[in-house]
Amino acid sequence: MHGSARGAHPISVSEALYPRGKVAGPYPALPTRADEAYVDFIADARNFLLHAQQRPIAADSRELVRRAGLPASPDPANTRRAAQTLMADPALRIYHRVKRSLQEAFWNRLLAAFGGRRERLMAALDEADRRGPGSVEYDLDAPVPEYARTQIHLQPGGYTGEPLAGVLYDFGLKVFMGGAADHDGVAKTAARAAAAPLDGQVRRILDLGCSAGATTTALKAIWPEAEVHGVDLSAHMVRYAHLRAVEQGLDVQFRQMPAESLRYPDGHFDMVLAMLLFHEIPTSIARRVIGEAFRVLRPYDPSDPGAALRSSRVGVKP
Amino acid sequence: MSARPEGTGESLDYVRDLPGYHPNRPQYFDSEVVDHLVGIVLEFGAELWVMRDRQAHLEELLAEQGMDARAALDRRARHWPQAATCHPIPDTARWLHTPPSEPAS
Repeated sequence: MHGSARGAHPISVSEALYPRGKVAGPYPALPTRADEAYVDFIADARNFLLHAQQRPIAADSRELVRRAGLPASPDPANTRRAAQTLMADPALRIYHRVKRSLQEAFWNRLLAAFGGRRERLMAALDEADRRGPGSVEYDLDAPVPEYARTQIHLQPGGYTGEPLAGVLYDFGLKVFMGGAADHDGVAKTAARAAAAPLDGQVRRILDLGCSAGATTTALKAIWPEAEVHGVDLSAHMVRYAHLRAVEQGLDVQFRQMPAESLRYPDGHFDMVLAMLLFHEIPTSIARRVIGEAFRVLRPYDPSDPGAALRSSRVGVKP
Repeated sequence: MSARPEGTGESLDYVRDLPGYHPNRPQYFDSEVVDHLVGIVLEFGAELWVMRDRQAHLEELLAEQGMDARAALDRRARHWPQAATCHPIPDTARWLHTPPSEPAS
């Protein structure tokens, strides 16, 4: 079950992942200044489109929908017609095409940049597997559900098909969040917002769909005495998440498993949190994930007057 | 994966008609060529920015070592004949204005 190094020579994580140091907290600096400039261009263009242009584009879209005689509020019966109306507009076509091209160009560059030192990075992951604090368990041959084989957000190889998925996702999130994820800001905010049990007993915490583990480590930093687990169905993600936690000296347990099929006993955790998971999975899977979250959550005492509020211990961020 | 979300009765089949549905061949314009051109223009933009960034950093590095490269460049007189850089342009223009040959019958 536990993954192991496959004959790789030992290599320091710093040497492999951070030869140019870190940026904005935990993120590895890109391999070259040219990579950084390229990504700066993409990030600025994305910010221009998503922030400066989003409002006028939205207003134009509403006007086009109105002129087409379609209802202003979401109406499933007219969704196809609304989509056709909007995509017939030249400005909207360019807007969406440019957004798509920027996303593609960004990932291509990131893959080329980190992929250029693939062997070293894989050796660093192998090395980190054997190190603590914390631990990682994964099985590279575990079956991957069909819904997880897609290239979510166009990330090359998706989360399960590219061994460097963890570092790609981590840096991708930093760029796509436009600075909000710098110094793990978004993850720390989510971890702080997670409600603790009213009795204050926090022995075990679970982070569902933990990806690169930023929220998982943020939870550990807030609850240092608790046993903190992060699960993700991607072996590549939990390996990178473990490496990232080791770098921070945080004792976190990462396990590869689907959030909709947890291998934990009933009532095992005092808090369960999911961050940026639900927008990436089908509705039917999301329902199973929520069911599992409640199953592994410590049952409340019905005689406790605060019991009704316990459901807030399951934190959900789409 | 079902194209129909549970509990809504709403069909998601329309997403297959959206321009971005195909992961490797998204098509937002009537001609695929235009789609590719947008990507090419952005690629040029990004690479241009890489070069400008590099040049700015180079000038900064030189300035740190006491050389105001930007001012020196602006003061620098052109030292090669204009014809050397410009003569290909009229050649290109002539080629562009050459009437197309008659199609072979």
